[in-house]
Amino acid sequence: MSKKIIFESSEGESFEVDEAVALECQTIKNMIEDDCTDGGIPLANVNSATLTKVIDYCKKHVEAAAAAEANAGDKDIYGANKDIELKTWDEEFVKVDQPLLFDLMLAANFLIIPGLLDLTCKTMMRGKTVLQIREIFHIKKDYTDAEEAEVRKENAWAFE
Amino acid sequence: MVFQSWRKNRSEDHDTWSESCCCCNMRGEVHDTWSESCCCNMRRKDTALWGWRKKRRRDNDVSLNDDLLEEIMSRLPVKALTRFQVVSKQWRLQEGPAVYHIEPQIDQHARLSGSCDGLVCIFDENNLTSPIIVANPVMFQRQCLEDKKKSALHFPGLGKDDVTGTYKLVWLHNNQSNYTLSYWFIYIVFDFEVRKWSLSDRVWVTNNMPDGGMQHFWRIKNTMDSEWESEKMFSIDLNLISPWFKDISTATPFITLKATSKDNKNVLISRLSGRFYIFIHIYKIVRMLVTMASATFQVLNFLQLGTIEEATKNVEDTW
Repeated sequence: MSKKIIFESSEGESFEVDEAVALECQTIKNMIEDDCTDGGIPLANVNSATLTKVIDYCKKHVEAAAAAEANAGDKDIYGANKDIELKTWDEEFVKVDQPLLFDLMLAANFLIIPGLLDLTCKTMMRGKTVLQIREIFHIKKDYTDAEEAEVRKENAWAFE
Repeated sequence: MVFQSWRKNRSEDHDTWSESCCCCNMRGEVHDTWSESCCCNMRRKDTALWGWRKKRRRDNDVSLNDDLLEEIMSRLPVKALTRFQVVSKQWRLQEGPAVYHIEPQIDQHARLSGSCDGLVCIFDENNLTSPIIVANPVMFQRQCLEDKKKSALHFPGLGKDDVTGTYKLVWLHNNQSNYTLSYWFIYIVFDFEVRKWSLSDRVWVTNNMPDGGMQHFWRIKNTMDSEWESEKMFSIDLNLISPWFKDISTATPFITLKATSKDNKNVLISRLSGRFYIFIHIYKIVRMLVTMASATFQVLNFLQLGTIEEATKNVEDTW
């Protein structure tokens, strides 16, 4: 019986996960190593919907790593086999609306889950225009029109 | 930024972190920033983390902290990164030293003197009047430095002043009028922050020992010697710009600097020896001058080198 770790979301909901799954989060790993996890870990800045997704992600990646280990003989020397399946799963995983994607990114950053942070950051930015970026992050344009034109001109090659 | 300071503390000072986490005595910002999820302080809701989150929600504003912005930016392809500079001033990249777009006038004798943080320094070995070019190949940017003095022999090197964070180009050259004094070099420094050359004193060989500050290394090929080429290695502290140098040519002829470790504390040097076998040595800079002079350095066979970290550790162990 593996050790269980209890997460508490911002709504106060409890989530019980295997220690192996929790270890995917570097932040939690540090806490476990320092024996700081008794009585649950409150995650005041991660809501239940986000936490559910995060746990799904960690579970899947722990399983995938275990499966890869078991089938070590099957894959080629570059480990290509398992990657394709996991990549497809990852792509499906981040097909969510923008706010949830953003929350996932914040959670991945806070909990330090490198794979998830990488995935969400890249998905967030893929194929976006400057205007879309401003919209997503609610960034006010702080350039004057003349300044913006200047920056555009300086980096014209990137808009080709 | 809250995350930033917390993360910094976590990675650099894990002991302090865990101590402050578990013992519940207030230990400054390490504790404060961590305490939101800390076992001993788990019910505190008035921490910096919580406040930041609440503020974000209340303003209905999805704001990125610098830490996260950096995470995002570091994953962008160069073209997108360049394009998104238009988004806002916060997204504007810090200007590197190479921001001018000047077509270089360099011929086939172009030589690469070295690189620093992805910037490369190119110069023309034969044509001394051609400009020294510092280029950022990724961003398609380059800067030419033309207003330099004439010389008979030159070798520019690019480095970063770790204290001020500015890039500096140090240009060692032997003035023709001082032709007879073949061991004397003039060096001038171009500071990319103020965009100015500053003429410094003549460089001379001293017995001063380093003080442990950061150094930048390169090799001077001294073609003035009539008998055979001797090579000397110098080190310059880019912050102090009052360098320490030592002539080590007599101890180790035919040495070539291959690489410098990221913290500038170890160098990889190859040496031709005997019937042209190449040996690779790793030197710890602080001790290098001493050990080289007395020739008691660790010799590592090229094939046994492994990673630089391993080899460095190996060398450290033997000292």
